[in-house]
Amino acid sequence: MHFRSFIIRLWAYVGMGLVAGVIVFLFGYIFYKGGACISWEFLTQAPAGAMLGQEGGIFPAITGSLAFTLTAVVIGAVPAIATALWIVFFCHSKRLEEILHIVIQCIAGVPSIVLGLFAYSLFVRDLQFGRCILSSGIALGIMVLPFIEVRAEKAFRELPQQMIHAVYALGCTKTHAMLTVVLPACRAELFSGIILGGCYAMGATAPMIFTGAVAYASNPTSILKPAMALPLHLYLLVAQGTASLGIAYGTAFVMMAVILISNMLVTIYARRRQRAWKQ
Amino acid sequence: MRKKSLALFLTAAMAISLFVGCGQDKSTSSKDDSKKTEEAAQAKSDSAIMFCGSTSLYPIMSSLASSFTEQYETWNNVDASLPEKNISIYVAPGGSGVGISAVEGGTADFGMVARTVKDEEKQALGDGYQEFVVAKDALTVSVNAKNPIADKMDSLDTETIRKIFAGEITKWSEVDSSLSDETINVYIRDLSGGAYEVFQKAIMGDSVITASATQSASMTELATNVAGDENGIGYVGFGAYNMANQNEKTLVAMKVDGVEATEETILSGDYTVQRPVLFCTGKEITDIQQKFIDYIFSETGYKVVEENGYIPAFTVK
Amino acid sequence: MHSAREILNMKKTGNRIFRFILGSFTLLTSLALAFVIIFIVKEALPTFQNVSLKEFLLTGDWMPISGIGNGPRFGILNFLAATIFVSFLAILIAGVVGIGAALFLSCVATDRMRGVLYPFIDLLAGIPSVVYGFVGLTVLVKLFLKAGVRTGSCVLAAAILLAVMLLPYLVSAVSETLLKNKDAYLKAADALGVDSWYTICGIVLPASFKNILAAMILAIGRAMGETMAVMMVIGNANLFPTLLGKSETIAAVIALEMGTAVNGSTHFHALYAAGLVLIIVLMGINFGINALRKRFI
Repeated sequence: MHFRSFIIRLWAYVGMGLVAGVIVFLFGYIFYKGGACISWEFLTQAPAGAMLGQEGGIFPAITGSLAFTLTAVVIGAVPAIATALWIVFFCHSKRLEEILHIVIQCIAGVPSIVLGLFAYSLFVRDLQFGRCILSSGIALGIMVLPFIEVRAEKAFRELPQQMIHAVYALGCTKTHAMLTVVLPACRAELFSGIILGGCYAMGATAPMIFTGAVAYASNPTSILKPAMALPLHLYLLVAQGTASLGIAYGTAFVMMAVILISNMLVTIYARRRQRAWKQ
Repeated sequence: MRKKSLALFLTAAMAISLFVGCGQDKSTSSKDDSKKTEEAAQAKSDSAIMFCGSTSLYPIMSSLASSFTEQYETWNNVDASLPEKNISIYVAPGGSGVGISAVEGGTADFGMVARTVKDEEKQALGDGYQEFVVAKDALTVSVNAKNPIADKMDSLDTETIRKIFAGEITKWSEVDSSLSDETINVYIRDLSGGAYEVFQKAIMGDSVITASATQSASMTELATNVAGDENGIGYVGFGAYNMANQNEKTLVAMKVDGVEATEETILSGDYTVQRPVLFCTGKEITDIQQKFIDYIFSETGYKVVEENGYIPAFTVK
Repeated sequence: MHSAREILNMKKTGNRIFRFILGSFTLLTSLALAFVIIFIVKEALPTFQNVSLKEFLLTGDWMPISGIGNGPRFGILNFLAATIFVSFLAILIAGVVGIGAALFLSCVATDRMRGVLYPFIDLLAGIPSVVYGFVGLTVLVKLFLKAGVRTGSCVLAAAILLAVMLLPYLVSAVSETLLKNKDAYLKAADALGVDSWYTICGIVLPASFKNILAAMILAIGRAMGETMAVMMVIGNANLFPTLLGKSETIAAVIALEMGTAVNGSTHFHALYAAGLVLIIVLMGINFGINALRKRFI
């Protein structure tokens, strides 16, 4: 019997060690390999070279990714937060609530590549948007919607009931309560949901391959034009072959740095808010 | 106060995107809103050029688009008669087929194609059809340099190549009895490359390439794969073949029916496993498009085509 | 000046408007799902004018280009099998490692450690899938190549990569249930003087079994839809999946071939149909889990 508990214990330690090791390895590997390539020029210049990307930088890819991410977050976060508010505060039917939860779950279950197919046939082809940031942004927005909704809804539900009832008791309408109490109180959670959702959208390649990301474009000027994107740029560099591998590491570096910084920001902000909350 | 402004901002954002949402719904319901289509078409043709298609041509086009944009920034710098608008050239990779359907559907100005354009495709693009052949690319039938076959023979006939790729010949010893008993590993491009169709037409005829063939996502990858496998054989593109052999001889290209793949035999058409790399359109060419096309067929363009490993199909005047 | 009643009315109207706006968005969200499904189905259906459903699902011949051999054929059996095989393999690997890590988090770590470790593990969820694919290509595939696997790309490499991608979801879901059950049982067991690790393996783990299984099945759904990372290391050949052989998943076929498929061709529609099959499998999993949860958990 002692042996069995030893095994379980070993399992716990080894499992945790492996997970931590993989994380440290992934970031360490990319930062180590990509660090050499990072310079001010790399971050601020357009790609160049006979095989594009061999020389120069990734600036249009960075601004492009920013444009995709912003579009996706605006399109995804607003309905997500609105839906969460409606479900928590206005939905009186348990059954409807259940159905909506299934809907959200199903959206989360649609593979991102299929969202790309959808955006292609509806926006790029039928509505004649063409390949553009908006077409991709809608696909990405649908992708991050459930991600943000789940977090927002959880935050709203965790608010102390007395607090909301106190606001009602003061004669305020639900609207007033939401705008002045609920949303500000859940600021940290909403912020973290939106930032992490943004990271998720930034890193997704599949939905935008045929809807709006291109191999070359200058800095994005309009939401109705295509743009470059970091993940697609990385993929194309890899697909092109070994000639531009150094730059590929650099591109991965930038994405990993964004992920790391956003996650740290969110964690620190959430912790500070939590402390303020408990007092 | 800060809380209030945040709340206000959130509501405003919601309201705005609701309108956006409604707008979208409306346009969904009235698909044939021709005004919108026209506007979109106009917006596309103002100062932007969109290329879409072949993975073989897109590195050349994006490289040229990048240097062109860097050099001139606005169109009036290219030619004073052109408007003072930022140059925007977009290059979207896809496949040859998609290049053509994008031009047909109006989502791109030019389709990039790495094979001959079929007659029915030309017809679909209308009377204004024009094509610009940028380069020629040939597929070499390459084996690993360490493979003893490279010393034994330097040519394979079409029939043998077909049998190898169809999986009817599976061992090197079946090609020549003095060779080893090892299994032949066949490497090909994935179906999205125009190369697949070219090879099919020139060599395979009606036979199907064996299902156990390894697909590579690019010619470079294909070359690397064959260079890393002593028993490998694959149709490596001429450019990728030269690049793979730049530092040391890692690949050996077999002659096909006695014809070696060289610049001369490819341009003259004697070497048959080859394809044109071109871009095409169905519409009249605007002034700004013409300027960029001139740039492609300039000395810079020539150099870029060569550096990408293709044989330029034009001479610089 | 407004009377009290007027102010009350204004408030009510404002409330109604706000409620209406929120409701519209909720409707929009639901419509988005409906639109996605309608469009995929609409584009997928024409496939079956040329290919029978049986042929599509139960044969492995995929030859989208006409004029070769017996003409175009569309059978996704190999792709479907590969999708399922890779996902199961990945969840198996992720399960072994992830449950271990979850045990550590719930039974060894203090509250403070958890506060650090959870966000740390969440980092994995943020890494873009192309980066996973890239690292997989430069590290895993190279390793397999050295170990003697032809070209290095194989189903196992893809499964390992996928397993890493699934870890954060699995670890957080499993450690949550473990923590709940530990809180319920461990104090009582401690009071009885039973060794706490004995309690964990004898009571806490078995009690969490159903929830762990549910978390694993949900993770399978996530794995099936993954595109880029898998596509970059699995080798992409239309073969029935074996551990060290190449194969191709449905998502990879779509991503690779949407580029060639000419608008409106059977090939084009067949790719949508493949996407539809993927959605149906995933939603089946989702609904199945929901139904099971209601009944048993």
